[in-house]
Amino acid sequence: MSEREEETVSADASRIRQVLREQGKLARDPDELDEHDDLYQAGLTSYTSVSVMLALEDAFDIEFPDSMLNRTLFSSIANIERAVANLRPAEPSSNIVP
Amino acid sequence: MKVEPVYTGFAPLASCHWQGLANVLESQGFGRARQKVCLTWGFSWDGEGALLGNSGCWLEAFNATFAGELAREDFGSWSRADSRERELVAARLPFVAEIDAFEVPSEYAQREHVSHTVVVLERDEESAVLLDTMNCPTPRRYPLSRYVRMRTHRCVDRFHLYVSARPPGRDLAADELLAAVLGRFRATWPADARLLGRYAERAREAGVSGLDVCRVGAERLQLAATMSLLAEAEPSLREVSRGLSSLSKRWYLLHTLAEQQAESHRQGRDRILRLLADVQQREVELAESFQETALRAPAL
Repeated sequence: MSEREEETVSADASRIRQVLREQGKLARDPDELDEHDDLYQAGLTSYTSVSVMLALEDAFDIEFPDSMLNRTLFSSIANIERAVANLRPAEPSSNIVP
Repeated sequence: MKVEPVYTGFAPLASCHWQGLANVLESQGFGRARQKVCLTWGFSWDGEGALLGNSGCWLEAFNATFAGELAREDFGSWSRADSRERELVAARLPFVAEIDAFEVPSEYAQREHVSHTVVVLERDEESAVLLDTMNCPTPRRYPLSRYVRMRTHRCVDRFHLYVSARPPGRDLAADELLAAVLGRFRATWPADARLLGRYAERAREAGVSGLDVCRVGAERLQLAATMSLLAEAEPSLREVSRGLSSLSKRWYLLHTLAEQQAESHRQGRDRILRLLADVQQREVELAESFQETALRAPAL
């Protein structure tokens, strides 16, 4: 992973945790959660998962396909990160082709 | 009046009254009440609005099947509701009353006014004893003034309550119950399926603003519990039970998305319509599966 890609991943993770803080109504601070912790056990509900989903779509300018709209998507921060990374438009290549 | 909280814990939107009623029925000696209180699978719609209701006939179905006397009572004024409640208390009949969750320990306490139901065990000139099987399954006493406040908030629909006037007169074995449920379903489903089609068409033409389908999700969830009992007559109905649980979640997802996503958001509108088409298809497929599977039961 390039340094730029690492920065993007780190920024995405922060933004995801920010969305969870604002929309998730979790019992714990998202910054204290491990990326594999169960978000539903941390207080996420079916209702707030929809709020989180919509906020993530706005934050990252993505749309979760219907096939992903299930409980597994929001079961952990790691799952959300993976989904967001897969859905984000690809960064244009920085290599200049002569 | 004593009601043991047999069924407790989270009850999704528009389903808590069934939990309360099931507990009341158990206290009347009617076992496995949660798996029998709602036997219906259908829709109701006024033809114009965005509210899609459940079958609307679960009370009648229960009473016809089990010789019960369950009733929902609505009142034009609090004084009439209050008078009726005093009669029920005098007759030592616990009842399930709709209240404002703002006033009781819940995730909405002192935050938001949302309709909820509790079992009313006692009330007199000074207080009421309530059993909230979802949030706090031990009886709690509230000052009467607070009870009146929670019964009369505008989020409560016509001060309504549910009562079981007497224990059900009969019970059925799983195969008999399956026959009853299947018979009723086959009689009502074709018209209900067409109703759903018209509702979806209306949403496509008129938009998805205010789309309200949580009562359908609630009925499917209750029926999933019923189906697990019917599986004793035909084990492969467990698959139908799982299908109904999954279908319930999709209806609730649709409801929540419609509630949260702005009508003006084109992508959001398109997604809601796709989900509506998806649940419509799932309903049809699961209905076919139920009928085919049920007919394999030895008693049928």
